[in-house]
Amino acid sequence: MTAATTPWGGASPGREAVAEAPASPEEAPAVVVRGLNRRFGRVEALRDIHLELAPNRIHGLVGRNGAGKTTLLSTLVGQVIPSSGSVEVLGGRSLENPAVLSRTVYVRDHQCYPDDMRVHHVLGIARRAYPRWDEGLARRLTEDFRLSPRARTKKLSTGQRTSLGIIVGLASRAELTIFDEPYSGLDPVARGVFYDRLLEDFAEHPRTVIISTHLVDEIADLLNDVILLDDGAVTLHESQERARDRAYRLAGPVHDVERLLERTGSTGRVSRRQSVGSMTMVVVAAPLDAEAEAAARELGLEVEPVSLQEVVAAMGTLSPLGSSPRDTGDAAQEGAQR
Amino acid sequence: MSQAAAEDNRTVTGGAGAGGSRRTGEAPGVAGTGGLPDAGRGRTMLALRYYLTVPSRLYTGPGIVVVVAALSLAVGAVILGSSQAEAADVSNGLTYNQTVVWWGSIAPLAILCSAVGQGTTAMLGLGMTRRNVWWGAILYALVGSALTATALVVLIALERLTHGWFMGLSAIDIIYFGRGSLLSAWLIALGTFFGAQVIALLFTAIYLRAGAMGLTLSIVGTAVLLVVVMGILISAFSRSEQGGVSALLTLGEGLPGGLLPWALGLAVLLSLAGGWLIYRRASFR
Amino acid sequence: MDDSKPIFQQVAERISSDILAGTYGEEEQVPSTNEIALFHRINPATAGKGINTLVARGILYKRRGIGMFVATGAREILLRERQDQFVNDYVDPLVTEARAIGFTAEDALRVVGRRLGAVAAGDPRKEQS
Repeated sequence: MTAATTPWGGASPGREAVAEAPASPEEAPAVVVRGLNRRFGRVEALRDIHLELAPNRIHGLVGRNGAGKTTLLSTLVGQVIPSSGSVEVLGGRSLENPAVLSRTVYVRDHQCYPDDMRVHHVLGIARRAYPRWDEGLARRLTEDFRLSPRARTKKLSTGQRTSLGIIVGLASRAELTIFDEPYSGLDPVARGVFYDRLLEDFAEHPRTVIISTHLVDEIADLLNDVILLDDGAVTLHESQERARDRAYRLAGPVHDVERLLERTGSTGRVSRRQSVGSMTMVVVAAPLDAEAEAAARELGLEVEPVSLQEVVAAMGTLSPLGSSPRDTGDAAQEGAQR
Repeated sequence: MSQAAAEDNRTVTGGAGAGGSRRTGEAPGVAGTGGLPDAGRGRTMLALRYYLTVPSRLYTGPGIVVVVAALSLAVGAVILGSSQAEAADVSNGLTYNQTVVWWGSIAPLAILCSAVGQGTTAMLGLGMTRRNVWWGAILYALVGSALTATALVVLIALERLTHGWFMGLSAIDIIYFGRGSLLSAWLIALGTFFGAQVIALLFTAIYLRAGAMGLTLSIVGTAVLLVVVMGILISAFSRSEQGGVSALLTLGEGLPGGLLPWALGLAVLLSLAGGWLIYRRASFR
Repeated sequence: MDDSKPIFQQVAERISSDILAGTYGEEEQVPSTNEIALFHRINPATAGKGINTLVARGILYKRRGIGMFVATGAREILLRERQDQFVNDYVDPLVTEARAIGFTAEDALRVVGRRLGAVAAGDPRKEQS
């Protein structure tokens, strides 16, 4: 396993070149969550979550707003105390455990700082908090994001605040690095900077990265694994490539499409439907099996893979067992909680 | 507290186990440190650093004391100049003025509470524990109070040396600070300033644990409690011959400094313990 | 990268095309996994997987501690693979399209022949029909 990547990775022993299954047996998982529940008053924010995250990969935590992403991430690093269940991170219980927490960094969306602090104060403390802090990287990112070290955190724009979080998250080189929605106020150029620097640094210094987002397509290709959270429960946890196979697009004359859906028993799995004249296009939230593929070819229907965003939208509109097709445009963009 | 100690022990063993599997991604040139980053106490000092990182925070207490002292003195000087009063009388009046006590206690509170309230998630995000953040804040309150008390004692010493700023006025060497040795004045000042911050931290903890509503309820509750206690004390005073509470008050007279400082001291100790117990189970979404 | 195919496959195809085009000669080094990952903004594991499919097909090979190199005969293998796929990937669609627009076999062959001639003459743009 080690030999597989050394020639390209250089300084990256222990990382597999071909990584498919969410958990590789050789390495202890970076995160182990069992039976996790968290309720706030009457709201069940997290429901019976079981999760194992493989180390040294980039994990995407996706789901609609209000699905419980932030609560889950906050629970991983002990900031939210579980109602029940256990959370282990980097080999130990994370809650109030300095031996574990000192190897983690958690960057919140809209992270707030004391009003009188300046950018360089925040970076100075982060530098002292992490033995592997890379000051050069921090400086470079500060320039890339055009952040003034003397600026007061109180006066930062949303985007600048997000940038500051990204700098702290990347330069700390923490073994477990968590970004919660690192996009607020960032323009596409700045997001590009983030993706490039993340990949660059991850390639040289592999670590476990978790990024939560509802902008799935933008980071889909960066991910090893995808975790889909829907209404406080994990509904999908797979390698990014396999996750993409969880849905497919079918297009053709209306009744041919209907015939195929009936024949494959997936009428109830249609998450999206659009029609033009006698032609219709549906997204089916089910893996494309050989039988369906053959049937489609026979009927002359077009079968296409969909983007990860579409899979997320499809899984989100249909409950795991469910059968309630909804003719929504782009479900993932709708935002609000159901 | 014993449960907290147990958590620490687990921490150490967990750390050793995890340390063994920490080979990944450690480029030799960058890491250099070899072992685990210093956990536990070192991180409380890191939290203290976080509070101290903005230098202006530390100057607030001493600064406010100097400004308020100067204002008190100016008021005394104006009274002295504009009336026929003797310096001794004016000075005597000034020694009952507690403005410097109040400002020295209250001004740093806002900074401390916002540093804890606004800084908690940022500090936790950098891998500190609640314990680090909390006791770091207590240490910071102690350091800040010590500085403010020192500034105050320096002013008292100056006042004594200059025989009341060459006017015979004692605006800072007030009765509250005992008018005794400089050390006792320093200790009284330290206790007052620190105690005020500890009580404020209790309410910060309540806010972080239970939100704005919880804070409001706890403040109203405290106010009601104080009124009740005052009522009992006043009724005890009015019927001072009978036992019960008045016996307590008599006991208080046996204590150095009377009952009040000891009652306040107890309140501070309870706040210290209560604040931590409330804060350590707070969740930050 | 587009969504129509797995990304690792697109990575492999990109390198194959570069080898066929002569960008990487035989026994020359190809970019590292990390370089490829950064270039395409994809996960290094995905890039590695793309490279590994080429290793499995004998197109690339690993020199321990140095990197990935184009195998001798790689062009040959790729050419053969592409020739095998030619009918599937290009001729079949052409036939389908020709039928849809009412071209006879002669029509289609004439057009193809003319294009091939133009390319051979060095100016593929000139003849448009």
